[in-house]
Amino acid sequence: MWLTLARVLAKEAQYRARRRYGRRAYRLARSMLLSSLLSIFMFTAISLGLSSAVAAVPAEARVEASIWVLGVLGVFEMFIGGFTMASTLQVLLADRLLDFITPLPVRESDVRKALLALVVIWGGVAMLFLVVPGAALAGYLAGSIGVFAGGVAEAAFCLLMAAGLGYLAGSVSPKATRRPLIRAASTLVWLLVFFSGFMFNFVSRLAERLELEPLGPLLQLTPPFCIVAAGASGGYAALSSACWMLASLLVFKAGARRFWRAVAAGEALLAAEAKVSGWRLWRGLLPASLRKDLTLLSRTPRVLASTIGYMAFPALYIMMSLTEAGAASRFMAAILFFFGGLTGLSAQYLYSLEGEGAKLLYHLPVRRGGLAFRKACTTMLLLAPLSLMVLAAIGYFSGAAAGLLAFLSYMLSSSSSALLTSYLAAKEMPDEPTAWTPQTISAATRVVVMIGMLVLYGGLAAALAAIGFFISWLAASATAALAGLLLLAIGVKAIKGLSTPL
Amino acid sequence: MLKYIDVTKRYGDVAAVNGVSLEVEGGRVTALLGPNGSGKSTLMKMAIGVVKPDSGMVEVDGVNPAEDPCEARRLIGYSPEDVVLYESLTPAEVFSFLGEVYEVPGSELERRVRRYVRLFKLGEEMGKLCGELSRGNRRKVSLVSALLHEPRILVLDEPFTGLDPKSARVLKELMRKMAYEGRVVLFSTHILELAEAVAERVVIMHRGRVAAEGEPSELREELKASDLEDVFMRATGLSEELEELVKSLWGE
Repeated sequence: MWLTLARVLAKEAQYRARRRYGRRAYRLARSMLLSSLLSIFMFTAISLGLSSAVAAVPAEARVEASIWVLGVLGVFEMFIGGFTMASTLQVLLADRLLDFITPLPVRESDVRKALLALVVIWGGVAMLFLVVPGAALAGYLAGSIGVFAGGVAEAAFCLLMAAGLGYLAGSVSPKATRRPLIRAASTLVWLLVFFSGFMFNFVSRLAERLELEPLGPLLQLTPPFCIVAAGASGGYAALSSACWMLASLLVFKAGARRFWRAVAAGEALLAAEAKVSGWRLWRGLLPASLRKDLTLLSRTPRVLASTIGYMAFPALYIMMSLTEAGAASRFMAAILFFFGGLTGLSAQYLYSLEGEGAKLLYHLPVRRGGLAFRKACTTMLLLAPLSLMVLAAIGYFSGAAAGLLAFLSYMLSSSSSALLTSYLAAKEMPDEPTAWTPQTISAATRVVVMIGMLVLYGGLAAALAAIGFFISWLAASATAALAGLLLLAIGVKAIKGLSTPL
Repeated sequence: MLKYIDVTKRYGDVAAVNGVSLEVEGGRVTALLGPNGSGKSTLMKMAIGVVKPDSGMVEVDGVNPAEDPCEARRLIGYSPEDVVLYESLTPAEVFSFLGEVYEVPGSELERRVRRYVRLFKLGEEMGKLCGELSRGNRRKVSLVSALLHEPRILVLDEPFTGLDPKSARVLKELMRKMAYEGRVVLFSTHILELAEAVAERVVIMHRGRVAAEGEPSELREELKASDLEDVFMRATGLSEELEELVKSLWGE
């Protein structure tokens, strides 16, 4: 019974998570086990790939190298495992999937078992393959059975910790929309997820440095590194490992209990915990439609993180370039223009932000053009602090005059890009009342838009770079400002022409 | 006035609405009755231009919603059968947004919101997120959303679903008052007693067509029926079918 229950819940939770967050549209894997198998293959490849770096290290340092590599893989296992489990479990709670099960004559123990199976079999067990194959390879290369045994133990306890954290995060996340602190933490986690690619980069760099830096005694005591260290050499690492294993067990137990409490209490618990102070209508200079978008964004950590990431990345790159070259460099106008163009693409996120609420828009006197303009305005509003940071940096490195001109080109290119992106998104929204998700606009259309914008802003940036190189930075900056202004005018005209209603 | 002129809407081979001509005048409450799938919701969605007729025309105070849905939506207050709200906004935030969309001035919006909050006893729910509200309270928020801009035409699809008796009573009175003020009030329901209690005119839909229309008393007389349920059964031809179903149920 519990296995059937787990299968049904896993399928439904996965379906809803995909529908909500737009991972691979609405298609379900034919078999849940098959989707786990795919993850197992992928994780095994990553694990073996990273562990093979141990072979590049001299024989006497291979045990230490194995502790490094397996420890980092263990951290990945915890991170990815906890995240996967939390996103599945939070859908169970948020969509109240268990409300359908509770009135049925199903024993509580079966529901508990089903929930455990849900996180372990579908999703959890595949995580072990991030460490275990690597442990086998590293153990073989280091000639130490202790490394292998330590790696297997590390994988098991990291999974336990991941499940515990997943349970905790999953039970807390439905409240993320209300509590600012949870929202902030959730946004931070999402930012880490989006930038996890850099972590892999970090590991590969680490592998290169293994030969040079000896393993510090502190690391031998740091979980989860300590488990492999204990397997290889025992000592204080064994004591630290014991503490870590106990902590994993406790976190798992606490997480499972917290999650079960949330499941059992369901709606009642959520309602009781919703502390409500007074209410008042939105007043002030900021239009309510912009405020609505900002509020929705602040209550949707995942989209907020994507938007911040999208906006911050180009701005950070610009500031890094500034410290190296200064705004008066020949290519600065081109760099600012290009990255400004990329930043504006974040306007598309404000559409999927509407979610189910988008259906309401179809009942209101809202035209696509008006909607596109408001979304672009919200994007510009969000961009304002980053733009000010860029302005301050340019001013600091290059002086007021050069800075102002360069800043103008950045502002105009990002605003025009936001307008054009918003125009294209508003045009693509369906005619029938539908919830807007990241999948509402087809992947093909999104890729075409992205490439189109890259070609447009990239091509113009190349021309600006040429002007900067052959004439002067001043000419390049002035041309960038003009080009930005022209694109802005095109964007405004396009949006004005979009008078069709939703 | 809300006017349907020979409208037809097909979904594949199925005619959801089939050659319906209907005039819903201001000054009285009109109830749209009919079994599931009879075309009531489709007819209502046509009024705000969400569904466009394949043939025929709809007029909302002279505006064709198929051509200018935005103008029609400005004139209409619409509450759908399945409530749609922003789950992570509070009702107060939703009303603020709607106030801007409908261009209701700030102080006036405040006055209207306070009035409806008091009428529907929404005070304690205003600061909660819509996703946390009960079904009945979500319905109330949807109804207030439809009323905020004091529309000339009110179109409510199954508005009593999930409402507690007090709020249902408030809604009935509101509908009557709006009709008294000369506005067009059209609502759909499955509850025949409700239709009889509130509506001065009843339109019975069956298989996409208007099976009967008129004042409840007229219809009773015309169809020699004892009550509105009887009228409904006779007009839709469901009485024989229902009788057989009931017989088979007891025969099992």
